[in-house]
Amino acid sequence: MTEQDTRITRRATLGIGASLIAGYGLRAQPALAQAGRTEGEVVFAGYGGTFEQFARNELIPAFEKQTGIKVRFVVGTALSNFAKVMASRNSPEIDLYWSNELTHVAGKQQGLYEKLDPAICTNLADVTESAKDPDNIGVASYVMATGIQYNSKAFADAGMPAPSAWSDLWDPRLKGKIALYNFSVAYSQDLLAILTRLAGGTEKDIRPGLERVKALRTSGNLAMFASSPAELDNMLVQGQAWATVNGSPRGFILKDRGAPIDFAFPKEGAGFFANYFEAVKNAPHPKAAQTLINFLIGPEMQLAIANGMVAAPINRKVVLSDKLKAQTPSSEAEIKKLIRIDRVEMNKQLDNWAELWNREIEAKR
Amino acid sequence: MRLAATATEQASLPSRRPRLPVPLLLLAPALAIFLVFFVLPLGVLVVNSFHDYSRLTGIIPTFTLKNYVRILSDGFYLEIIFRTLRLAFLTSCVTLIIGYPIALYLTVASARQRAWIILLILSPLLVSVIVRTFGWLIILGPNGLVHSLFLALGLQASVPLHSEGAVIAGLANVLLPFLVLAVATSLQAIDPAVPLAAASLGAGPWRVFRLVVFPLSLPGVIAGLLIVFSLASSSFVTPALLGGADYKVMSTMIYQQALILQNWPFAAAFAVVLVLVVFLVLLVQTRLIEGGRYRVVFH
Repeated sequence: MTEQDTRITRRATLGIGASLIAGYGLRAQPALAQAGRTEGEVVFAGYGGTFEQFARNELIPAFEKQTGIKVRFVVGTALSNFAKVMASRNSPEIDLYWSNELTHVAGKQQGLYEKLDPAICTNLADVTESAKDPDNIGVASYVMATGIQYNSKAFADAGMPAPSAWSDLWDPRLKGKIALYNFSVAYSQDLLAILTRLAGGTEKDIRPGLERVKALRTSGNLAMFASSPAELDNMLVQGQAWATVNGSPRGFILKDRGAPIDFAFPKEGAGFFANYFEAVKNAPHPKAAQTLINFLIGPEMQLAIANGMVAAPINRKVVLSDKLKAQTPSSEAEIKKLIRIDRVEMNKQLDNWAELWNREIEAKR
Repeated sequence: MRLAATATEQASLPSRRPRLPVPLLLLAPALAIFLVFFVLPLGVLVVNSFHDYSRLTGIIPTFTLKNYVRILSDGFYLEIIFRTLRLAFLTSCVTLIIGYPIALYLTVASARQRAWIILLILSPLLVSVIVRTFGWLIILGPNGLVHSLFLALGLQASVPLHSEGAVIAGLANVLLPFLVLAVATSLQAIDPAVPLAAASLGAGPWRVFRLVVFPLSLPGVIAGLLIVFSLASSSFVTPALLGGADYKVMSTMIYQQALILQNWPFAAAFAVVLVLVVFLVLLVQTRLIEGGRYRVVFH
């Protein structure tokens, strides 16, 4: 190729490249402008699995019938949806985000959520105190407990009584039989905080809880880690692990399906765990989002959610069956007994906790 | 004479028609996609890696080297980098040892046998990575095929799952076709007269392979190893599921920092380090082989 040809081709490259990038950028603008105009739709980012089925079969049709607003359900985990909310904070695409304890606090601190308007969310008046946020930013969707999930058949066959306290996990007879989630899953993070509190400490210094989990590991009891609920369920159902720390719903759901699994609310105190409905700030459909939240915290939906998720409803007006009352921390008294973790401090310290857990618990021995 | 004059006349005439940059036009769509969907995000990633992060305020857009300092000065992270490279290296070796004979066989197989073998080695790629890895979980698990076999033979072996070996097995399973096809292509390009000539000069089959066939296949071997090494060092699902919680590689840390802790700058720094380290290793490997004893094959 001659000098002449090379100059032309370089210019052509720059031209084509620049025009494509500019075109891509410009094209995005009209779409964003259009989004804010209609409130006939709301984008709801929630969980998959049984909740997605419940949402698509019962929740969404009921809401659309009552209000005429279309619901677009986006599936993800609390964390992956949070990443989306964070990434698109300048022009959000999600209106209603279903968060967990940590992303509720983290998002609140970073100003990602809107204050709930009592004029739209009239059902807030019936919500239990423990479910409300002190600044009215978001509201809990249900309450569950973090406790011990175990294989009842394995314990029965071994002639051991079923576990009923946190301290039962350190029983030497359970060598190699305890599984835990790895640090990515909230329940293991909460376990550190719960054990620290039981040892008299606070979330500012997680050492007491860490030492207890470390003791579980060095004694040989803690032998397995799971990275997802499905994996942990599998370990328990197959009997590879006899006990683990998990949220209350999963154990009861498996039990209802006939598996030899059960859940125990530890004597020293189970952990308080909730997921929250958040109205995303600057979302394209703010009023529709708050209307949907109001619908979800209303008595009918709360009863349906409580039954479907085996969790305690947050609306005082809901009356539960006796079976559900036993399986969930449904009364105010029971909720008072749950260990409430200082989520603000936990949010500040989470990086340190992750470092410590990586190096001392999940390290190669 | 007449013809020569015409030729010189034509040579001295300036070309009037503007030459279309045809090669560039053909490349332009791919180049555009590459620029927009790869180079640009990579640029954003690199810029992000120099930012600071706080759980209370989010990403702080200043310039700081602290992410890189943290990674390169902490023994814990250096061990993870080393483990990632070791995993990629061992996987490359395993795929080469298993794959080279398969590639050799492909050169002498009939067309139908070739089709069957290629289908067999490509079949893992037809299945989703999660399904495939769960398959390995079942085979290598405590109730699985391998462990039951060991117990039946009376061997006191630990469960093969959650070890480096399990990860290598899972990775080699899926990366094998890349290596086999690269090497087979290279082997098929060898002029059959060359090994024949070597044999006719008195070399036995092993010497023919060692001194003639293998060196001539080196370009394919390098291409294959390049792909296997890169893919093995950046794999995430296989080490996570088959390696267990204490088998952490770089992609595990990137995932943890990005998704669990939302510390995107630190995760970005990790990603940049991963890219640079792998690039460096591959550069060294290529230079060593291409400049080594058999450099004549490459030129």
